[in-house]
Amino acid sequence: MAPQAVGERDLDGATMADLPSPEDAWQADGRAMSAQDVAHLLRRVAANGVAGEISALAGRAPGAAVSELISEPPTYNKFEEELRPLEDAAVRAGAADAYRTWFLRRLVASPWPLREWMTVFWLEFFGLGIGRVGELSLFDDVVRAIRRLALGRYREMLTAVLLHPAFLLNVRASANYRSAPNDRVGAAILRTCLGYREDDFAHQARELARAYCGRFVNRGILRVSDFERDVGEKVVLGRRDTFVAEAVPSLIAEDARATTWTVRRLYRWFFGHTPMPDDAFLSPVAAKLQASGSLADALHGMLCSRWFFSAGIRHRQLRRPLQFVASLLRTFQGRVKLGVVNELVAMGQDVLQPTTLDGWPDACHYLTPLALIRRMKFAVKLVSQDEKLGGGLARQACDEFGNDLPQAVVELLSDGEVPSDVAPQWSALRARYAESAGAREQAAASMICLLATSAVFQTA
Amino acid sequence: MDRFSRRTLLKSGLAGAVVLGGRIPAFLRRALAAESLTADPDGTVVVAIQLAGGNDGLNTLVPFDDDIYRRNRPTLALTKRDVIPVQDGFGLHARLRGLVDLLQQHRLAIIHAVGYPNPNGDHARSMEIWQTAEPENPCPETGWLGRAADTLTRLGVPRASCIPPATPSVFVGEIATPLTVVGRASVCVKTDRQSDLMLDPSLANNVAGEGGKEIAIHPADASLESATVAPRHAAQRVAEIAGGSTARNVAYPQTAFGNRLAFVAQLIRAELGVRIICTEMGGEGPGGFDTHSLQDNNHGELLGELGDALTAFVTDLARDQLLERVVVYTYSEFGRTIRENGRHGTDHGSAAPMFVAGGNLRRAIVGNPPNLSETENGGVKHTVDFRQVYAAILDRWLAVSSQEVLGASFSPIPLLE
Repeated sequence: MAPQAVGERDLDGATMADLPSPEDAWQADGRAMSAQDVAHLLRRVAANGVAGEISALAGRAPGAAVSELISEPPTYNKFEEELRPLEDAAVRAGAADAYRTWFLRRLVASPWPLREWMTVFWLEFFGLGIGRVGELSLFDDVVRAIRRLALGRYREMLTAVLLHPAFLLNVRASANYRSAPNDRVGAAILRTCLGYREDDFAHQARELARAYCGRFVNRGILRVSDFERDVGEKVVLGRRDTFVAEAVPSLIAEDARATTWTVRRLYRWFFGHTPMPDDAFLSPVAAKLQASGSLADALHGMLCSRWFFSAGIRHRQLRRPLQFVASLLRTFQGRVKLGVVNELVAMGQDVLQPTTLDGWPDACHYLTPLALIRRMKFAVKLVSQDEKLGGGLARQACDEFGNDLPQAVVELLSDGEVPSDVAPQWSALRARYAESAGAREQAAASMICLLATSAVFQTA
Repeated sequence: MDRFSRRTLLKSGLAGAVVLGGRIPAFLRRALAAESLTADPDGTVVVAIQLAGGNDGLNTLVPFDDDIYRRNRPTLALTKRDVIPVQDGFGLHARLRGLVDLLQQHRLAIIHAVGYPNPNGDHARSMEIWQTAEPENPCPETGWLGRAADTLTRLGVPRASCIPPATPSVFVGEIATPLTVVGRASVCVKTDRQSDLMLDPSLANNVAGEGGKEIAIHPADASLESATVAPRHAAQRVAEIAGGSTARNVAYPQTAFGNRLAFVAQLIRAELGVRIICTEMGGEGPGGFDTHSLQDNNHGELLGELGDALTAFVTDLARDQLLERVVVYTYSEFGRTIRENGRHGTDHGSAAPMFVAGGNLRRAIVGNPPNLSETENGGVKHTVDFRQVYAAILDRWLAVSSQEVLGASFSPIPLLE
């Protein structure tokens, strides 16, 4: 995720010189949003837009729309009350797959999608994996903390995660003796929170590890042993003191390199990475995060910017399997069943297990021929009556949109324009849909599949 | 979502939509066009077979003449009559008859006593060590073939794209994808049956690209190429192979593992550019080879299932002249104790023999036979480090630097031509 070198061309032929100045880029876009603008915004913050959302936000300024997406909607409590018991039951039973299913359901059906997707962002940021943590109850606990703070204070997020026992289990550092500091803890912090790479930080990792001495996780419970604490002087991120673990989140939150790295990760998540700008370009946002400490403020600034709504950003991000699956389900309000989680794994992505501490592979690595076949088959199953996936979306869409279905599908899945590669088939299907009520469902299924498997839908 | 009416979208409309072709990143247009499938379809292939549970090597390649073996296994020791001799004092379990044929055809090699220093007796940890080849790393993140796939992907991605030209690795099985094939960048596709990768005609009509025989896929074409052209070709290829005259040259045993290997053969035959394939027998967790009690019949059944399927697989590939491109190896987290326990079973040991099959093998039996008077964890002391086998596969077969993947230099075992 290094910034692009000066003069270097990215995969689309752009160079850093093609970027606007940071001042221009991060200026708030004050004009009223078109439906396409809203669709773009929702693709990035919620996998895809739902018809009602798009129409409700169209015509408003980005600032107001993003504020609404960041704020808790009135229906969220009810949603939580319905879903939380299901998650609790999965945790009690130690049923990780059921827990994955309910987590995915949040991404698809939550009335507060930005917060749910930010939860995924932070899981990837810290490289927290359900398999690595092992204890489902601990994993659930840290996920809940992350969700609560996903749009909150940066320092509180760091505190919640870096001092959580799940963080230690995630790097197999359940024991931290003073006589043998566990360098993996320090290395994981430097890698995930500051973007340090490889072996150039061994000494710093040791110093951080010393701060974590005395922290043990035993049977899922964090125990702090004062006897094993290392209260000697250490140098952490250039500052010298007798730091212990509790001080580490604040040290990171105050470090400019950490905030820049966090903004870089946010940029990659919401904007894409072609081209990946340098620190100077990101500095206004990083400075804002450093000054206010508010993740919501930083995100608001990014998502309301002129740069975010520019042509250089739209449809330049590739969809990972998670975004692909969630976007289809969300758009047509499909049900999430265990089969959907398994389909995601088959495409190469586990919704609760970033592949490594660095996160999941770049989206482009998921676009190999066999992985795309799995996407196609998923789309086909979803629109048809496949029980394992809770299919039948075509029938639902017919009921919802009636005669307007062809237009609605195009608008929701491909920005209102039929991609040229599927145009001949599209015309035939559209005619078939109009011809007879009996053939409608099949034609609707075909239309949804056609657009869901087009190139444009693999982008956001 | 229910805050808004869905139908109101249509009232606002997305009027004045732009032409999408101009919005799609050029690299996506290029990479997802049909040229994707041109990626080295004739490249070498590695097939990893995971045997979960800890296979008893001593009753697989049996030292039937060894007094220590006989004394330690009063009820489980196999005699010369129970095995098929393959080397002085050693014979393969009678249920592995097919593998003896492969051995004689120079399509199979057996490596004696493969393991690693300070062996770990925990199923999960020891399997992880075999999968990652990082015994010293207490928290590994990637598998050795995953890292090899990362390298192959990096080398294979065209300069003008970030999208791999072929699927680098596939796991065929029902359990969670083994760490063996987990890479930092490369993505392993999981599948368990051929139909997962086929688009039958009725489905194919519903996906982009189908019916577009004349679809423009020239890289220079400014129109929007289909993201589905390459996968559609792949699916067609799988379907052709499955339904064509070349499908299944031999009868595979009708077992889950037999079906998996039959599918792996189809994947190789389809020439999709997949270089790394992993499959498994024994399941998840402790696994089917964990024979702590009543081992005799259970182990024989397992070996029969393994041997029959592997024999069919190798024979199948050989008949299509595909074996020259393929190396297959088996691995299990550990062997078992030399001494049998009180339940007519054996416990977690250390080293065990490894099977390697292929069309370019130098020797049939490799490495020094184990000395049963020297033990590790109550099991056989290793004479070959498994990373020497991996080094041979990396350097001599995948043409990927073993030092880069394994993080250290290991002398490749003289196994491959």
